[in-house]
Amino acid sequence: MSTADLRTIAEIAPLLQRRALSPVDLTRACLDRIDARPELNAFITVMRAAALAEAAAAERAIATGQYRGALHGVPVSVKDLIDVAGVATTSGSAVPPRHPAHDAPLVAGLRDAGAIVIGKTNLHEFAFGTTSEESAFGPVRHPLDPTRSAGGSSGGAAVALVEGMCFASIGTDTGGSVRIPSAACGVVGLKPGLGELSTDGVVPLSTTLDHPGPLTRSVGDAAAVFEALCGRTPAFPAAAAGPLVFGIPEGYFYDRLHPEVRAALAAARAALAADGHRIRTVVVENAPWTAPVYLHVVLPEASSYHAAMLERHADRYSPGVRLRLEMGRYVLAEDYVRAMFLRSVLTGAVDAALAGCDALLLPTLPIPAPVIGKATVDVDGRDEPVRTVMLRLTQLFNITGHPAIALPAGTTRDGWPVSLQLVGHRGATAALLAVAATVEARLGARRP
Amino acid sequence: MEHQSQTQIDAWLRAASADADRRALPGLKPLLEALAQSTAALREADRLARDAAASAASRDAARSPGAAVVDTTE
Repeated sequence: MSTADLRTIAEIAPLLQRRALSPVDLTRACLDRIDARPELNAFITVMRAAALAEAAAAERAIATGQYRGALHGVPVSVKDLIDVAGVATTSGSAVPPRHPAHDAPLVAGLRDAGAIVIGKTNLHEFAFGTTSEESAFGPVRHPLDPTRSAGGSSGGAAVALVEGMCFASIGTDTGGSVRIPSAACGVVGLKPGLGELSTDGVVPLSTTLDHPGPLTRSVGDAAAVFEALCGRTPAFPAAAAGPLVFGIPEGYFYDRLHPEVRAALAAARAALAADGHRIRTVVVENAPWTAPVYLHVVLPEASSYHAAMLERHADRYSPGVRLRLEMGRYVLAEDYVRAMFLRSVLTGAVDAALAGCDALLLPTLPIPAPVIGKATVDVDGRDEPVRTVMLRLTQLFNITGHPAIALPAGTTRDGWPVSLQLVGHRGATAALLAVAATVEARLGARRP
Repeated sequence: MEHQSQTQIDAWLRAASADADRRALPGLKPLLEALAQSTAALREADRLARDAAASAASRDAARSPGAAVVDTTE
């Protein structure tokens, strides 16, 4: 098996361009890796024949001088919540799937850039969970220990990447579903700004909170894939120039952490300070309002989409997902309106915290990857619900729409990945990626 | 105000729980209880945010001579 399948896109793209590496060989290597670990349940559909045909076409095109850029000939995976023409979109559910005739614009963007869609990854059913264990296709298991969760809801996307089954994965993030599995598995996960990427052809969880985004092995790769998803030519970003200012939102975002997560974040801050960057304590006013605001938006929006299917196929949903969807039917309209008003208040609070800063710096996930099947988890001596803990540090930025990125920040003594999160100014995803490239260069990319 | 809001939530919870029983969904009841607590927190946040906005508007009006002139005219 080739070792090329664990490199970054930035590393393999020049090899593909000068034909030192074959897209067909690369795709076969990824397919071999998928075959090697079926117990992880990373994929729902492997598009073997189509992927090999696309790889052969890419090889021919590159050989005849029609190189399309950094993603040409690169195998990628797509969360099975996103339409790929001719392939069932299951959403990880036993509820009847949809059968799309057309690619979602996100997938069309990848194909236009020459990427090879290798398959569709497993997820928490309908993206309504943080552990990827409630799926009709079996729980997604962590590559380091199959009794642990890979995070979710884009759990299969992160596992596919960390196991060399592809070079980038496309996920969706409604409360943290790109960043949480990226943190649990030790890869990069980008949630762009609200509305930057199309949600057409994506099964919605919450129409005003959903953000598609890429999971990759490096910040540069995330930037290149993000550009392709936007329909632009993939490009790798330069690191941000000059000393940067990082805002540390203490309080809510730092008060309930696993001790080794806390230590890793402190080490990251110290390393950045040692490089001359400024570290400033900031306040996100009213951050504790996050969970009730989030709940009163996500529940009714999810229930609205599922109402008809719940009437017809209630028994086909996972019990936990069904109950959460049913719960949304009881949220009063007046409380939904209150939550939408408070979104604007919280958006102003994050804007104020960012004033004078290049990015906020905080943990992504308060704990290492949790054990599958556990309803609660110990956080620094307190037992708390797993779902609440896992969403705690990410969901605010779905509410406010600020771009956010999860980056590897070392490991615990037992080798579990720890992740930091950078949050940028609204409408400035490219600037956030440049800041993230600087941080990654200092902390060192952790190879899966 | 707070008492009235909590009473409304209690009434909502009783009705929602009864509906969950009627639909043979007993597993929903603890979730509805958690939702009721969250709704109480949401309404309190809403009250604080609106109070803060009203206070800020009053301060702005007091600082602005133009606003005072308009008030007098009306």
